[in-house]
Amino acid sequence: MKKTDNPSARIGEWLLIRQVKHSGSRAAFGRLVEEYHAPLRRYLTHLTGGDRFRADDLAQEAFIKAFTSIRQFSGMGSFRAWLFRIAYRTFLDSRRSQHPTVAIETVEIGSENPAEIAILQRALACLDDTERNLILLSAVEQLSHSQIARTVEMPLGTVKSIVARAKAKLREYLKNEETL
Amino acid sequence: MKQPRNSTETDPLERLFAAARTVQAADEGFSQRVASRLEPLPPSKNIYRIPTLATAFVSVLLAIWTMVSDFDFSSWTRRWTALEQREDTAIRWIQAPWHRPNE
Repeated sequence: MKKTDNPSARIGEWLLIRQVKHSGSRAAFGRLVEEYHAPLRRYLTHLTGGDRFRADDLAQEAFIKAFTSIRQFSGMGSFRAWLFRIAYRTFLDSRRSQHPTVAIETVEIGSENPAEIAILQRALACLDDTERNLILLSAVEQLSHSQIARTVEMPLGTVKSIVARAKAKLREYLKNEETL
Repeated sequence: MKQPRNSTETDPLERLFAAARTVQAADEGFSQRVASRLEPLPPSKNIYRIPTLATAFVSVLLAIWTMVSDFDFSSWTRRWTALEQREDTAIRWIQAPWHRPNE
């Protein structure tokens, strides 16, 4: 169970967001950063093909954007999903400003299972940005399909089909990897 | 009895996803770096609330006043009927010479 599934944690989060919205409290936002930096940085690390430094830069930028535009957050949906949305847009902007056709480089990152992470990174590199984003949000960050649909502003059916297609591509990649 | 194994154990893809979920990002001053880059937000501009609240307040005052002052709605009906029955001189669209009544 994620921490934010807990009703008291959700109320605490809502109070912090309210404080930031009304008084621009940087201390309250700092607590939100402490709460969400780990999943956001992990998500961006996978999205950038394991580039931790770039992921940290993007996460920092995403948090700053979230702070300046927090009054646009309606409070109806999940704050975590809203953050992921900002992070993905920040990632896309950075890709556009660099080289639009540059391939994602696979970089080794520290984890409990480095070999498996390396395989996943190579497999994820076979997907396009949208597929990679949706599969990470669904399978790694465990957002529901409806949360993802709101996050990426896509119809629910499209999200389901892209996630299924991405999984099929990854399975295909793994099958080919095994036969090599 | 043999226990069913969950998909994370059997499915290689699910095993990779499970491994991806274990990737930890230690704070290492990250939160502080973000906090140091935050510019103060401008004060909240919820000025749309002022006309809304003012309208609500005036409406309530009007309702109270009509109740307390024993407002006579029938007098308004009479006035309205009289207005409808009033016969006015039609507007002259074509220029006509002006005559004083005593000339």
